[in-house]
Amino acid sequence: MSPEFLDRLKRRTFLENSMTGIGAVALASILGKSGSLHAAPGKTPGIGGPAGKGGGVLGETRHVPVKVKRVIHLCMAGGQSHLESFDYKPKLAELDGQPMPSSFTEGQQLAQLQKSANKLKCMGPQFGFSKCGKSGQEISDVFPHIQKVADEIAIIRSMQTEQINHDPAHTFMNTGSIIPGRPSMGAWVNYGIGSDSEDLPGFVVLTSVGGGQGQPISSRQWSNGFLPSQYQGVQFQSKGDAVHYVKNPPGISRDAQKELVETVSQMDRLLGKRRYEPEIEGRIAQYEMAFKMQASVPGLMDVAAETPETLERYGCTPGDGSYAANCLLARRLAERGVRFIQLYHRGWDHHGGIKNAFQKTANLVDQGTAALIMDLKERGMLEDTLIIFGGEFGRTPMAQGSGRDHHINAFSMFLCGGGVQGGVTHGATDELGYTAVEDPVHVHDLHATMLHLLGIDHLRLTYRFQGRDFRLTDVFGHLIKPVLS
Amino acid sequence: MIRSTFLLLLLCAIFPASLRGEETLSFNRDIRPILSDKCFACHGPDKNTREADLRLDVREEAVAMEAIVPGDLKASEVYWRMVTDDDSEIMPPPETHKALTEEEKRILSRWIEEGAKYEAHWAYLPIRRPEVKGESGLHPIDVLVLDRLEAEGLNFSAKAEEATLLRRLHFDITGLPPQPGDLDKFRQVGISRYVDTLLDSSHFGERMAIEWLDAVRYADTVGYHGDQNVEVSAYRDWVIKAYNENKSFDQFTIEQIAGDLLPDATLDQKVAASYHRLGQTSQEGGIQDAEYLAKYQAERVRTTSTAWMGSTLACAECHDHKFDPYTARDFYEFAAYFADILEKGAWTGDGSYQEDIKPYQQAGIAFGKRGPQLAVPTIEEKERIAKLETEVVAAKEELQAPRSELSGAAMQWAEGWRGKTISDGPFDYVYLAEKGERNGVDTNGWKFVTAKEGKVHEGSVARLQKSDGLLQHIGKSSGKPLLISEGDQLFSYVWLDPKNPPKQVMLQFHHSKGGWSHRAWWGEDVIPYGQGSDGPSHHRVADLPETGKWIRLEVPVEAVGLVPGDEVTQLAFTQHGGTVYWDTAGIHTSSQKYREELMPAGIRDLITKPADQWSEKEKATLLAEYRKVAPELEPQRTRLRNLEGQLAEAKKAERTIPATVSAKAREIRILPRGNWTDRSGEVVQSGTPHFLPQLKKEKAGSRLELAQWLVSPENPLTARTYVNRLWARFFGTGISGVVDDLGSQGEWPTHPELLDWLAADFIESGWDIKKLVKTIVLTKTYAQSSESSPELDEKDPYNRLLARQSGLRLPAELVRDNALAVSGLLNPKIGGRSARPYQPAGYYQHLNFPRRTYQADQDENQYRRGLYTHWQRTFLHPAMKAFDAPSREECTMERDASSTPLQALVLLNDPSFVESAKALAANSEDVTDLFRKALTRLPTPDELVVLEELAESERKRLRDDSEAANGLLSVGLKKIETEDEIELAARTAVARVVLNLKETITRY
Repeated sequence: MSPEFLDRLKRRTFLENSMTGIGAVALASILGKSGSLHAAPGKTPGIGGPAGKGGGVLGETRHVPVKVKRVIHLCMAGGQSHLESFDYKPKLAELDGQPMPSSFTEGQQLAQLQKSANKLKCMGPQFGFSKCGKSGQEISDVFPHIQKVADEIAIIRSMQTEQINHDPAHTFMNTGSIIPGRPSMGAWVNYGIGSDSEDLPGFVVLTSVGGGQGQPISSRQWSNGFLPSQYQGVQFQSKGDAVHYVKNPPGISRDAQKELVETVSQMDRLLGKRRYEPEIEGRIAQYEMAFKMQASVPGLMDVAAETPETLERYGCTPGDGSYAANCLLARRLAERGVRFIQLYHRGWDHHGGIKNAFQKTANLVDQGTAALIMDLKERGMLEDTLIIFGGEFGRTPMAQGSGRDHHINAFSMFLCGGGVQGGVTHGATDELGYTAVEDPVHVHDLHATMLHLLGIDHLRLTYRFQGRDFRLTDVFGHLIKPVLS
Repeated sequence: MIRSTFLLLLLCAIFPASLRGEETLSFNRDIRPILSDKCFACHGPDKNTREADLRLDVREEAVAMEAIVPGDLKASEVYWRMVTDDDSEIMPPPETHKALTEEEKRILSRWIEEGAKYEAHWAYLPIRRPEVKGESGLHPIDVLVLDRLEAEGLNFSAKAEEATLLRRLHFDITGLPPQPGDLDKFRQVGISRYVDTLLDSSHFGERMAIEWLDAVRYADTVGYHGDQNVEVSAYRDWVIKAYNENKSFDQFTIEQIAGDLLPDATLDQKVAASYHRLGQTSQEGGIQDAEYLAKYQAERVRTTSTAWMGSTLACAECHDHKFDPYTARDFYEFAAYFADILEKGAWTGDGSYQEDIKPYQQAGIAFGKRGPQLAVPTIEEKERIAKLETEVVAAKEELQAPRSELSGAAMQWAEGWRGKTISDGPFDYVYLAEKGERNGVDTNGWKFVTAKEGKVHEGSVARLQKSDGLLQHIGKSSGKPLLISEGDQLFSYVWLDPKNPPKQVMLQFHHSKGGWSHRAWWGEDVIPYGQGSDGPSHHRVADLPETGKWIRLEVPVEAVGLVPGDEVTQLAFTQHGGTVYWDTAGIHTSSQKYREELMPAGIRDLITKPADQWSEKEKATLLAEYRKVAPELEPQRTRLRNLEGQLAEAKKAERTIPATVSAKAREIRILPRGNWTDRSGEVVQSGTPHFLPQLKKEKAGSRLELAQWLVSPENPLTARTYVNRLWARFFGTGISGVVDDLGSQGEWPTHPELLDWLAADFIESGWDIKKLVKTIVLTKTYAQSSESSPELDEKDPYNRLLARQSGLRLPAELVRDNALAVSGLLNPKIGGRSARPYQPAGYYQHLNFPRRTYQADQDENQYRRGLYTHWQRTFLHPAMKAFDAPSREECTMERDASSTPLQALVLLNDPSFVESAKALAANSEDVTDLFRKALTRLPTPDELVVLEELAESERKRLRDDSEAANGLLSVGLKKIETEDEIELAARTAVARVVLNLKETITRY
């Protein structure tokens, strides 16, 4: 029996050993020996995974005090109307059906309403609003559950963006650029500070089913862009296997797969004995991680262990792929150390029939959102989580038939969690909700603030690509200080 | 050894200047990188962001401002700004986080003291072939590499083992692994002749195409929003063919940039020019035409300037370039070359072409969803069309074949017509005869059915209408209105299903002036149109007619309020509930007009005179007319009709590609800050970047001019960019490490003379790509072992000095190709429409407009090479994506080579790889054979022990689990017959291991 063979018998046990070192392995490989990520121009040598503890370019360094460890972005895709959600405009109600004063709209970019720009009419808010909680924040009655968490959230009524169509607007919201191919914010965050998860990707994307979700969503929205590919978001599918190829081939048991993975590693190690091959250990770590994911992903998705009270709070049937079920999964991902969690719900593109359709979509997201906030709070996790809630743009105060068109001059979002003041409203739009006139907040500002809460100075998280140091915030970005606690 | 002072400067690219002692400073190597990175953003080419009106990129200006006083450090403002303690004075300002290091300060100081000499940026200087005086027997490339190595105290590594070198050559040149027996051949014929065979293989073009397709952002979908499919595979095939034919790179360039503008452009050249139509486009509702035109324009500048020039001209879209001499004007002048391309910004109803397209349509250019289209049938399609065309000709001949018996029958037929004209009895004039133009398409509760599928009254199809409630079908005829005459009856045939009769049927007639208030109905009064009323607008004819047979519904025109001279423009067939077949509808009339219309034109004159006065010519006309209707020729006519139908369908299904059509040039303005809504910028004409050598203007302003400029020998960028990128493919990194940016912020080449030698040689060879490849792969540098050592890694961690080859992970496509090839599954077909390998279900669920379900290929197309994989930009095939294939939304010059758990999952569990493992196992005699097929070498005894042990362990497991073997062997389309499932499954496990090995997916 050869010495290698004996060696192998010992190594058979590696999967039973704890795997704290994987992030460190990945990082060491990325950095190479020079300790600089940019030492090899134009490419990233070495090895990394989509997951892995640590693994960020900043290592343990943080530029500013860390307020949160993770981000959950609840993306209301399609462009949620601010006028039916968080920005009540009584004057608009008064002018319902009247011509829209041209002073607001002249020379402004419109989307589908462009063709009827000369006969624009006001459309009043379709729902009543209430003053909620101790703070008395005004929230639409269509969100009874979110109303109950009013004191936890900071509403921003003065959001603005630059892109008036879905695809580029999402790209802008996620990457800070309209040019496809730039890294998304989840990729930036993982590139900067890595992840705390040992057996799941650091950036997970969930998309929900149900509720007339017409607009497509592209995987570009969670792309790593020019960052190394281990920072890309991994989309967990709501149908079939949650992660592609996570299931063994038919006829292969977990034990058989384990033996196979171990044999691959054993063979790779034999190669490493024959030639100098320093990346072998990194590769073996990737195979171990893959094998672990084959168990951890189904484990994550299996919410049978949740109590009936929890399921009732979220109002979901486990595994139904609904937004509420994804909110519950978001909490489970957060518990497992995933750094950036993004939920898409695509039902907000209400060009027509906004009253019924908005109500329907609101019903699908209201309870899950509030449940996630309170569940995290009760588990002591809200204080180190940042929740971002909102869409890629807002909607016009003018009617488009029975709906509203896309709108970039004003929309609402809310922030919630560590380092964020609850119960405050920041910024304001004009009396018709057309333009953010008080403390406008740009998408770049949102990015800067998010990074700040994670302990990162947005000016100092850069990556050199095509000869330029790129940032998530491009050359812009200011902190939204009034909402910070 | 080389005696060039230039070469002395090579010593330092990767080592700090402090290690290099005190040799002469070079501006490009030592100074420009510092100034560019730390200073130019505010004191560089961009006038809009220039601070204090000072620029440091132009010596005269820096000296004039006394920022730099050559030779006098202390008099130079720059010096004081570097060394001050005052935060408000120090440069760069602290908030930029760009502080100079002590080393950088020292170098800048020394440079000023030594006279502050500037140089133009290296990549913008003319390409000059350096004189290389090497040792005898060494290729100039090896001389230049070795010289640098020796200066660093290094030398070449030993030559790679033969099997390793063979595998390397295969993956680099054809992308497919060696087959059993290739190693012997390699040994027999020697490397030079062996390389020739590889270069002659048609797989060479496939391998070369991969990187080119990345650069030109080739993909099978439009990218934006709904990411709809777009058929562009003909372009990919053109690239493969061009490489295989060894089209020179200058011609390769000209045809892509301006193939359509070449005199007597061939179809191939036009297909090449479709390069301009490969970018992302959008048909999202509500987008603005002008905005998207601006996006497409900028994207074309980005792609062309990056792919050919390795330049970041794209940075000048919003402002003058901050580091390189490109101005915003350069950007828009470059963009203006593309202004003639006939297109829309918004591919919705809102977008418009720059001019009326009618003349183009009249000139025979077809227009599809994405504008002008070229028909480019695949080989199979071409063959099918040619075959059908031959058959149509034969069928026509058969129909026209002389038949003596015909003339008598034709005479009788003509006489019959004569009789009809004399008699004035009424006849049926069919206004609407369903021919099934939309056969099988179910829209809104109706579809065409054949006699096999349902009931047909006349012709080949009838219309089936089925509904639980109200259902209306509006029949449109040729467009000519139906003219009403005295005493006419309107009719339509129906067949009511006895099992599911309707409650009511209704005929409605649309009056050219008066609308739809002309209705006749049968049955209960439940259809809402005119419900409850009586009279011509709602005339009840009778109860529901008999079911289970064809019934002629008939109503006099006056009953529905129509009078002679009225014109009916549309008919509507309405029912409430039930299953109804509808067929022929029209008018029973005595109208002379319609009588004549029905009569074949050819015999109208004929029957005005007696038969004995007919001329020979008239008789021939009669015969020709008769052949169209003669009952005895019906089989021949049916055959011809079928063939013509098939031919028309085949032509309609021909592969197409969006065409680049040169039209009226759009007006191009400088967009201030890139803002498409700002129309205040100056209008510009096309032109090449102002600071680069200009071409003598011939065809002023056309894309042809741009193409010729790109490949003119004076252009300093194109050849350098191409050879540098090709070098990166063979060695892992370019000679200048940033292959998509040869500008200021790029990298000083590790071997500048080598880069120029290669570029000059490439141009002088007539841009001969195969020669360039062969030259590189025959060098000693290329043939070295790729094995490193701790010492070498310490000294040169990224292998920039090339004391060894590089071990490179195979690109995504080749990971797939290799598995298919070694297992024998590979379908080696070249070109054609894109293929659809297995893909996880539901992956496209977030796509819309339209919704899509992926259908994996169920035939040999399943086993195509990776480069043919359907390239869905927003949802790239997960296996391709895991192995770093780019989405191709944008020009990509270099891929990442990551190693991730997702890759492990692909190799372990993707059915493509599991099926390959199964086939590899089935095609191998034993474990040793299996291993050798995959890796071109024998396993070591240790490896064999490990693999045999796994096989044994699997055999045991599979014997205990009776379903397992069958389960594993069920993966994939191809069933493998075996008497011993357990043995095959156990070997499949071994093959899975082998396909997962690092060595298997690495080219060493």
